[in-house]
This record gives sequence, structure tokens and C-alpha cells, in this order.
Amino acid sequence: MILSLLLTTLIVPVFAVAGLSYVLQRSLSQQVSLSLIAIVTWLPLYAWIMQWPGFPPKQALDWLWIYVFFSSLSTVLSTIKVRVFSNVKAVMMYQVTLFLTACLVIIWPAISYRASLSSHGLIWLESLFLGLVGAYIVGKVVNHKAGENQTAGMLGSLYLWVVTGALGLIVMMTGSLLIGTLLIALSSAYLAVAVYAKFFGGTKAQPTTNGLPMSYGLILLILLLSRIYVDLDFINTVLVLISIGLSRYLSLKHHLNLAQERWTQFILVICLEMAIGYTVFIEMLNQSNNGYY
Amino acid sequence: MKFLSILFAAGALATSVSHTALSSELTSPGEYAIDQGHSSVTFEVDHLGFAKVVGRFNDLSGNFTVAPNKPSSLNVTIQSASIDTNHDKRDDHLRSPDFFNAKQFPTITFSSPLDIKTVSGQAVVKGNLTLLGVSKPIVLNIKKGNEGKDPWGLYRAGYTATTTIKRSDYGMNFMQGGLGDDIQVTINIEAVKQ
Repeated sequence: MILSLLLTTLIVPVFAVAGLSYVLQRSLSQQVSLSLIAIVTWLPLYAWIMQWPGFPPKQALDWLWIYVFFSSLSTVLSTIKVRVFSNVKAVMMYQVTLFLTACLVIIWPAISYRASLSSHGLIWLESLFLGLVGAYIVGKVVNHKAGENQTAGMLGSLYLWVVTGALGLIVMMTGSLLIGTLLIALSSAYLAVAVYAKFFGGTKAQPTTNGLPMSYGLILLILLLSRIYVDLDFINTVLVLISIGLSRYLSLKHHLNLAQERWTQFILVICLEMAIGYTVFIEMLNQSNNGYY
Repeated sequence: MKFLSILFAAGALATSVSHTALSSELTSPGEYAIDQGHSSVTFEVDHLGFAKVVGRFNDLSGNFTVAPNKPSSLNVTIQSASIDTNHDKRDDHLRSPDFFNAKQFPTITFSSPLDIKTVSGQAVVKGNLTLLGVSKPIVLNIKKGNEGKDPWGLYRAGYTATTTIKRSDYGMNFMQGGLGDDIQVTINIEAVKQ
């Protein structure tokens, strides 16, 4: 079981990203979006960890690959500049609509079951808040002239590695090893992307910003899913949401001076540390002496 | 002292005769509601090959109808969030999307036409179990308990049912290496005639 966990969360993502990037870099004439490769590598791992998601989807987690499929479609079409997808605004509308639809589809069973204003009012407000903030972040990432900034792509992958890894740990501690494992696998893929781009990537293979809207959308969906279905603490949800927002800001904004950048990085790290610390604290309060598995 | 012993033995004999008589009868026709306080659903699952972990669902409701000339029926609803394995943290994990996904699938249901048949000397009833949104036919081995009026005048019938299901059939695949795929389920039901 531990070997399987190591394979799915560390060894396979790292080697698969490196191998796929190398092959595509050599065989394709166009610039390769390594962020897209990270997600494409993650998909088989997702299927492996889930022991094949159900189709047609029954559980909330089964919808993730469908979101990734439609989101990556837009990423690929906008990369090769197919008709309407060459227009940034159209891509933004597509990605935001897709994200909000995925949010609704994923959380609908939980927010609609025996729902009344008094019993579900708060969770409706929370879901609306998380969905709209998520849509804003996804929209902002798309709007950043997709594909033009390679450094942004690499930084984005690095920040996503940190945020996704931290969220994975928090979700694992909170109550879902399955979702935590999915997040850690994704985190390893982002790390592999950033390392490959730094040491082996030529001008063709760089983690461009093309794949970032999908990456942010996926992480935000998993965050929302964890909040609704795993009862991730609201404080932790907000702290991680702030970190995701800051990571987007850091990777795509370039008018920050060094001091501003350092402060933003500091706040991002502090938010994640606070979230992990808070989770550990809660777990220690509830801890019993024996492990249960 | 001797008098008390004789009295006790006579009482025990009378009780046993009365129970035998009751259990040999068919369930009286009518509508029955499951008495939650005297019913339970327990399960056992293999833990790393060492031993079985036992759990139960605390919230169980349902009813069955026995009609002489019409098809009888049985409906049982279990609240999946009521799972209890005597470990709070593990129960939280079992409620998560890794296992029962209690927020998305708050109920586990079993419905059956309550057509009890005897197969190899064992009373069985077929029905559909819906877990994680997946419905599959299962067979319950039935053992009828007593039936009759309780000390408070309510007409009561009891059954014990057992079955084994594969959790992977319902899409519950997580931790297959550590936790067994086969789940032995025991259902003890007492129902009160309405």
C-alpha cells in the first residue's frame, strides 16, 4: 500500500512528466505547454487512484476528469489558435462558464438534499462565495494573454506545487486520504514541470501560461469539493483560497518590486502554514492514541 | 429456596413453549414499521488480514407490508452518516468521498418484494441494495424470530438477515489492499404492526 502511494504520488508523476516533456519537445515543432503536460500526466494517476472513475459520473470526484477534458480542449484549441479560441475574451468566457458549471454540478447533490433556507442558507452563501472567487481567479489567469510569458508559467507551476501540496496535506489530515492523494500527485507533477523547465527545457518546452487556467480551475474545484464533502474547515478553506489568489498574482503580475514580491510570497507561505498548523491543532485536539488503519 | 427454583423452572418452560409457538407462525398480515430502538445493521470488514473490524449504522428506518392476496414489500433506509465503528476519526473518514460519501449519498436503501423462498433449507429474500447511487440485486439469508404481542400490547415481529456484499460492486474502491472487499452484513429487525 505504501509502495503504491509512493508510486502514484511521487515516482510516476515525476518520471512521466519528464518523459512526456522530452518526447514532445523533440517531436513537436510548436511550443509545448508543460502545465498541460502536468495535468495530462495526472489524469491516468487520477484514474489509478480512483480505481477508474464511474461513467456516467455518479460521485462528485467522477466529474473532475470531465472538467479537465473540456478545459484542456480549450487550452489546446487556443494554443493552435483555432477560430473563436484565438480570442482571449472568448476563451475566458468559456473557461469561467465551464468552471461555474462544474462547481454547480459537483456540489449540487449536497446543497440540494432536503434543502431549506434555514438549514442550507449558510452553505449556499459559502458555495456562491467560493464559486465566484474561483471564477474570478480563473478568468484573471486566462486574461493574462495566454501563452506569452514563459517565466510566469514556470513560477505558476512552482506556486501551484506549493499550494496543491499544502492543500493535499490539509485534506488528508481533515478526512479524505483519497482526495489528499490526488492533490499530492498533482503537486508532484507541477514540481516536475518546474524542475524540467528550469534544467532541461529549451525554448519550445516551457510551462507557458496556457495550461494555468485549467490548473487553477482544477485546484479550486477540489478545494470546493473538499469544503462541501470532506468538511474542510472554513478558516482553512479561506486561507488556501487566499494562497491560490496570491500565487496567481505572483506568477502573472510583473510590476511588483522585489520588496512587494517578497511580502506577497511571505503572506502566501504564512497562509499555508497557518492552515496546516490549524489542521494539526484541530487533529491533536481530537486525537485518540491509536491509528485506525 | 426449593420452591423458588421450581417456580423459576416452570416460568422458563412456559416462556420457551410460548416462543416456539410464536416463531412457528407466519407473520400476521398488516403494515409494520421498523422499531429503530430494537433494530440494527452491523457489518464486518477484514483489516489488513489481521482480524475483522465491526461497525454499525445507528439510524435505520423502514417498513414492510404483509398482504395475504397482494404482493408484500420491504423498504429499509439507512442514514449513511450514522456509521459508528467506535472511532470518531475513522467514522469521519468513512463518511468522506473515500468510502460512503455521506454528503452526496445520505441514504443506503434496500427494497424487496418480500417474497421469502427456501433455498437448500435456508429462507432467503431477494431485493435491491442501493449504495453510492448504485443499485444491485442481493440475497439476504433470513431467520425469523418471534412474533406476537409484547408486554406493552404492541404486535411485534422480528427477523435476522445476513448477507455478504462486495464494496467494489458499488464503486467503493478505496484502500482495497488494506481493507477487505467483502463486507459481511447482519441486519436485526424488530417491527411493530401499525
